[in-house]
Order: sequence, then C-alpha cells, then structure tokens
Amino acid sequence: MRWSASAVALTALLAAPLVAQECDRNDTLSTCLDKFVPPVAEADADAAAERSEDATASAATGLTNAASPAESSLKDFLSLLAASLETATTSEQGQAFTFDWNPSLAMAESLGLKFQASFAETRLNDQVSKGLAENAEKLKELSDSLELGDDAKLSGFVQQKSFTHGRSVVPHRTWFRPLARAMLAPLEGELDERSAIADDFNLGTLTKLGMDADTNREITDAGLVNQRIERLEALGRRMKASRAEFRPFFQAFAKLLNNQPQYYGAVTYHARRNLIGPNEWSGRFTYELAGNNLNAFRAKNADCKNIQDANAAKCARELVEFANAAHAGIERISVSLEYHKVNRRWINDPDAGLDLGFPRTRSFVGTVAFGTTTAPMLPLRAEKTGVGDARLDFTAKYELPEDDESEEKGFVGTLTYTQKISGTFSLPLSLVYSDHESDLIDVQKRFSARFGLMYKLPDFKGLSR
Amino acid sequence: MPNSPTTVIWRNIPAGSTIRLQADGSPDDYELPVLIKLNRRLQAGLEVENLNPGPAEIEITAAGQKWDLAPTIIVVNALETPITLKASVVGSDGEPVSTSDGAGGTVPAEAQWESPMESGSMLDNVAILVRS
Repeated sequence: MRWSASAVALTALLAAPLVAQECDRNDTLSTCLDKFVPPVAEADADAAAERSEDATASAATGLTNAASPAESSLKDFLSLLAASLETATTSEQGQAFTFDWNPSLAMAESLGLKFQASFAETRLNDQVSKGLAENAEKLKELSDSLELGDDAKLSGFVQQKSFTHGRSVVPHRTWFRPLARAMLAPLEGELDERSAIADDFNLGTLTKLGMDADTNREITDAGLVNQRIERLEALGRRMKASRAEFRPFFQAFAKLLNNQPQYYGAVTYHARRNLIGPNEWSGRFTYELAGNNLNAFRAKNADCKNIQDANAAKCARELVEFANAAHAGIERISVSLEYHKVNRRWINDPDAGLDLGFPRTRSFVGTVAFGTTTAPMLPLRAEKTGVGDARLDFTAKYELPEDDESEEKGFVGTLTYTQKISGTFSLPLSLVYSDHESDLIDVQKRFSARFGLMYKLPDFKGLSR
Repeated sequence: MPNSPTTVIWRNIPAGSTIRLQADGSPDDYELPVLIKLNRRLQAGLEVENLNPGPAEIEITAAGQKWDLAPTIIVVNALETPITLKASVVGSDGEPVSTSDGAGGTVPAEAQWESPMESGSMLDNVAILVRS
C-alpha cells in the first residue's frame, strides 16, 4: 500500500511542468513576455531614475572648457541638441560658467559642429589693481563696475565624421547593417510566433490571458488558459535566449565606436573689458586617438573589412571577442597645437592715475593629454547604485612665445579626476603644477588645486511633452 | 505619455488607413531597423533615416491584411534624452483611427516607447500587430 502511494506521488511529480509558470491568467500578452524580456520603462520610478543616472554617468567626458588647463582629452561632440536649448549643456568649473551647443546641419551631415561660450568670474587685471593701490575708492568703483560677460570666451569647433574618424554611427552604416541583420535574424521567427499567438487566441492589447476578448468574460476552460500561457512562455524563453546572444554584440560595437579617433579644429575669441585684460584670438588643431576601436578591429580582422551575408555572423562574433579582450595602453590620448595672438590694448585714465597697457604678443602652445575611465575613488554614489563612473585625465602643456626672452615660457601639468555625483552633476578635482606664470594658460608658478561642478541641463523635451 | 505595452494589437482597422512610424533624436547616436511582415511574408524593412525625421508611412491597401512590425532601437552613443518612437494608424483625415483595446473598450490606434540611454543598450521587445 505504501509502495502504491509513493508511485502515485512520483507519477504526479513527473507529470507536473518541469518549469514553473511565470505568467498567469491575469497577464496580457505584453506583461507575460515582459517577464522574460523586461521593458525599458518600468513602473518603479526609483529603478528608472537610477537607470537614468547610470546612463548619464556613462557619458561623463571630464571638463569641456577649452580654456581650462584641466580640459578633458575627450571632446564630446555627440551630446547633440535637437533644438538650441533643449539639449544644451552647461557646466560650472570653479568660477567659470560654460555653455555647450552641438547643432546638426542637414546640409553638411559629415561635419560635427560644437559651439562653446565660457564666462569667467570678472576681476580687475593685476596691473590695474597695483596701479590703484593708493586709491581704494576708485579701485572699489572699478571693481564693482565689472559684470558677468565682461570676461567671455567664445569657441567654435568643427570635425569631420568619417569611416575612420569620429564617433557618429552614420559613416559606418553600410558596414554595420549586415552585421546587425545577422544578429537580429531571430526576431523574424519570434515576430511570427507572437503574431500567431495573438491571432490564434484572438488577443487584444489589454486582453488578459484568462479572459475572452469578444465577450470580456472569464474563460472557465483552464486547459485553454494554460495553452495560452505555455505558448507565450515558450516564446518568452526563446526571446530571452536570443537577446543573450545578440545584445553583447551591440554593446561591443558601441564600445569600439566610442573609441574611434577624431580630429577637430577650434577657433576661440577671448573678449575682455580693458580693465580685465586684452582681447585674444587663438586657433587650435587637435587629434584624439584611442586604441581599442573599430579601425583596430578591421585592421586585425582583414576578412571583416567588407561584410557580406556569408561572413556577417563570424565577424560579429570576432568583434565581440575583440571588444572584450584586454588591450594594453592608455584609453585615449590627444595632441594639439595652438596659435595664440594677444591684441595690443592701452588704458589711459588720468583721473585714476592709470597709464598702462598690454603689448601685442604671439605664441604657440603644444598640449598632450591622455585619459582613462576608472573605478570611482570617492564614495559619492556607490551606496545607491553600486556603479558610479569616473575618469582620470592628465594634461601637459608647453608654451613657446614668439619673444624667446619672455618669462611666459615653460611647462604646465594637470591631473584631473572627475566623478559623477548624480545624474546631472559631476565633480572634477584637479592638481596643477606650473614652472612659470602664464596668463595664457591661466596659472601661477606653483602647485595649485582646483575643483568645481559640472551640470548637465535636465530633459526640457520631456517637460514639454 | 507613459510607454505603451510592448505588444500593441490593433484590430478592425479600415482599409485605406496608414501606419505611421516616427523617431526623434540625433541619427548619429542610434540605429532603428524595422522588421516588416505582410500576411507573414517579409517586406522591405525601414531604417532610421526613414523614421527620422519621418514619418515613415505604410498604406493598408486591402481589407484582411495582417501587418506585423518589429522596430529595434540600438543606442550606440550615450544619450542626453531617450529616443522616442511613435507609432499610429491614421485615417484619411490624418487622425488616429479607433480600435478595440481588447478589454471591452476602444482606444486610438497610437503608441509610443522610449529607448534606454546607455551606449550599447537596446529597445528590442516591441511589436506592432495591425489587422484590417
């Protein structure tokens, strides 16, 4: 008797589904499949907010102020603006306020454009302050007369977007799309099955699996409901498996694309009120290079330079292996050469006893910068998300005036650590060393530390919806 | 407008209506292949340049047609704001046609989804099933 009871129990156990059902009669077609492939936006606002913060963190690019000695080695051309203010980026570094704008030109899609305005804290030029050392009233009057905007840098950048340079996906589409098609091939069968399930069971968007869409009444036939659930769960498992295959490829492609080298030219006009300093012009050419990129992959895998249907799947696998392999060296390095011209300006104010000026000068500045992402060193976000984002940038500049006897000749080194502290704020910390005083690079002959805040504007597009 | 269900099923759509798809954002930052089937037979797909600025339009030419669409957003550069994909079926007046929600009510045949923002992330679970 005991044996037969055990046999019945064992039979019942074996007859039960090997995989527990994840969906039930209150699910819809969508909510059932979402359990296998979660949707992007969930009801949990906190989870969405954390995801948003992480996404913004992944875009951390260090200091963007082109005038700062702590400027990042990575120029962000892709925080693109759909309209002038909708996607503008502002940042505050120390006492400087910087506004970035990346417009898109339909007429010149191969060009990446960036405009930047930086407004520094206004203060009287040292020569003016010394000249008024005996006239405190006049010194205060002139100092109080300074306003935001009296010391402004306006910059324009332009870069070429091509198959070998720049981080835009557009020039890579002909090469990339056969790879994407190969990886997304399972979607066709999955779409057929999703369509068949919807039609076979006459499901609508909000039809619960335990309801009849025509009568809007509960289905009493448990077998029919189970049939719906089992077919959907089988599809859900299939979708989950295919995403485990193709999602790593797209992550790998994005990683290599973001490491593509880029070069750009920049022109800057530094407009200053005469009490602050002379007006200045500068032109700069910069080249940025990263090792682990699409160019390197194609160089190493010559048979993947041209993608056909025949080699697409193989090249996609090789691309994932290449992207995930350890590559020695610095993540990104930039080299730039800058020509700088200071306009002559003279201040003659007999009432204040001022008679001084700034000579016309011309000089070259060479810069080498390299940077890498790193694990966060400050416990600012780790408790909440466990995945803060940070980067380390080192910049070395050498200034060579046209007048070889000038004292403004020499080296400036800057080490900057930038860490995200929220979805919109970053904290850059810089250590600067200079072996000379330079108004051009804005340093004094000593070690100094700088810190500030970078702020990215919130989603104005979302507010307008 | 919150994200729509990942599978939308629009039934009893009048012949002569038009399926519209549109996406925003910078085309530098993402890909958006759209798999399209008519009565289970593969049709020429759409790409991001068709949808942005778009809209891409597919005409429902006859009663009884079954259109199945699977758009996939592939984010390749970290975004400041999500990509929004909008889908609808409009009548000759350009307004969304009315359809059953499958639970006893009627709704306009329109939907939208927002992409994730991380570089390398995807919106890859959306399907639009249109039945004339």
